[in-house]
Amino acid sequence: MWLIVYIDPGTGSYVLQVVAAGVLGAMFALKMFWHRIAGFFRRDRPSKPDVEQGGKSSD
Amino acid sequence: MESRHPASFRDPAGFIFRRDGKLYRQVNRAYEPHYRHLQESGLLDLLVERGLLVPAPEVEVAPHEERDALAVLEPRPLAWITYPYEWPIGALKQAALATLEVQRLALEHGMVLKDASAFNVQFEGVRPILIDSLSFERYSEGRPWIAYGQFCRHFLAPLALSRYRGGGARELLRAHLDGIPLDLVCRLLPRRSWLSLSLLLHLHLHARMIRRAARGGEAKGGGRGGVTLQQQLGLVDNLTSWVRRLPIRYQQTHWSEYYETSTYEEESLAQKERIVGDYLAQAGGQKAVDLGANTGRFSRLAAARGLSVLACDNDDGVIEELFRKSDGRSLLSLVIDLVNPPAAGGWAHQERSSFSDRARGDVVLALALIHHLAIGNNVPLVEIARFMGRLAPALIIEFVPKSDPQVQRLLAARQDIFVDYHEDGFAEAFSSVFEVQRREPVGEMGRTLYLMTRRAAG
Repeated sequence: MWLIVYIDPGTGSYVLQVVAAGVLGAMFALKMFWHRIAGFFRRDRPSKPDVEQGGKSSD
Repeated sequence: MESRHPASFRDPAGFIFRRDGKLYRQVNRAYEPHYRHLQESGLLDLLVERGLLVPAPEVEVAPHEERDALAVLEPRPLAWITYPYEWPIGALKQAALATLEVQRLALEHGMVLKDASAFNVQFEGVRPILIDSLSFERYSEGRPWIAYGQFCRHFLAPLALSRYRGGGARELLRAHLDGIPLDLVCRLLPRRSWLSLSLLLHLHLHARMIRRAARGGEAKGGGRGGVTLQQQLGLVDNLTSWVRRLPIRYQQTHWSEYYETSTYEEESLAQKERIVGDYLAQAGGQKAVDLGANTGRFSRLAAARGLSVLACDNDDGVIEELFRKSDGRSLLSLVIDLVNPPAAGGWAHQERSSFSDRARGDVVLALALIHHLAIGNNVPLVEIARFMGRLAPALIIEFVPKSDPQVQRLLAARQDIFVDYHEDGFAEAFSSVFEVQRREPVGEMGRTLYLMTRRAAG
């Protein structure tokens, strides 16, 4: 059991993150690409801010 | 009169110290390149301007440890220090979103958030704010987000549990100060949580990978493959959209209708509000602790009078709703069970302080509460007085007599062993700690409102 403590618990997180970020990074690139296309056709509309600011949830 | 903060020992970048009642943060030389980049990239100003980071200007004050010192900062003081295991889930969600937004902005400025601990977020009313200005380091191309695992344990795990399993996640956070271990959270989540791509990646596969690495199997698996900036932004974007879509559910309990169904008629409530308002004016001060806040009617009254209010109740439902309905910086709602309030914990019992060490105000409100403690939980009146006396020098308390229907309901299920529970017994018990300043009957049920002040010690 004690062997476990000598292995950096970050190792598993690190490996997983490389995989997850690969998948999600590709999806993010697609999303950004889509936004750009959509934006091209709706250029005159002001874009919404991306993240809600502090405060309350809208749920 | 100087001491280093007992929770501030992990980070070589600097630490918090207290001198003459003021809190300062020392920045160490080791942190200089990161600190300069934080300032020069404009990230520091942006985060402060957007209310995501506590302003902490440099001050001309002698450092606590001269040898390593680069600068001394004086963070804007916060009314209250609260912990994730006291927050309603709605607040944990907001804290998670703030943390992710800080990480996103940091990435855009060539930095990363190196510490994603939920304890680094505090609340000013309903607004989450990061308190550690030394949590940033310069981004180096290809390096994964060092705080990713921590973010998953501190935020994603309890939020996912609350999504699928309702309450209880809060208690796990209390036990696991560095966030809920991922293998534990995965055993508790239902199978259908695998259907969410975010939870599949960030919790289930993440937990498996940690286990596998611990066995020594695939520790080398990912090799030294890196994570590009675009991929990091994708990771943050995915976490953000999962958290943002998370519905905050809470059970409507009988407490949420308390004031609609309880013994108080509208007229008596107006009278009670007027008296409490008068007492608050007389008590003065800036900070109020409302124990048994319920729907927050009187917390809001205190907040409207300019007080910074900590509204506490043991009912998830009412606190969740109070958080959702509040805005601004003056009212913070917490789930606190007064017969088991959060204890001190962490390294040497000093890293996290107890609820009663943090919930110190100028006045305590304890309305329609005493019978729950004295009769519902058998706490002697004199002990209740002592506990409240620790929190503030003034007390606004309502005595609810045995004849009250609410007390009768409590007594229906238990033997009446409470011979001293009457107004004279109450006044006598409380006189050991407090001095009565005002006393007024309220409503038709024989209830009484008191304003008391703490006797000088000795």
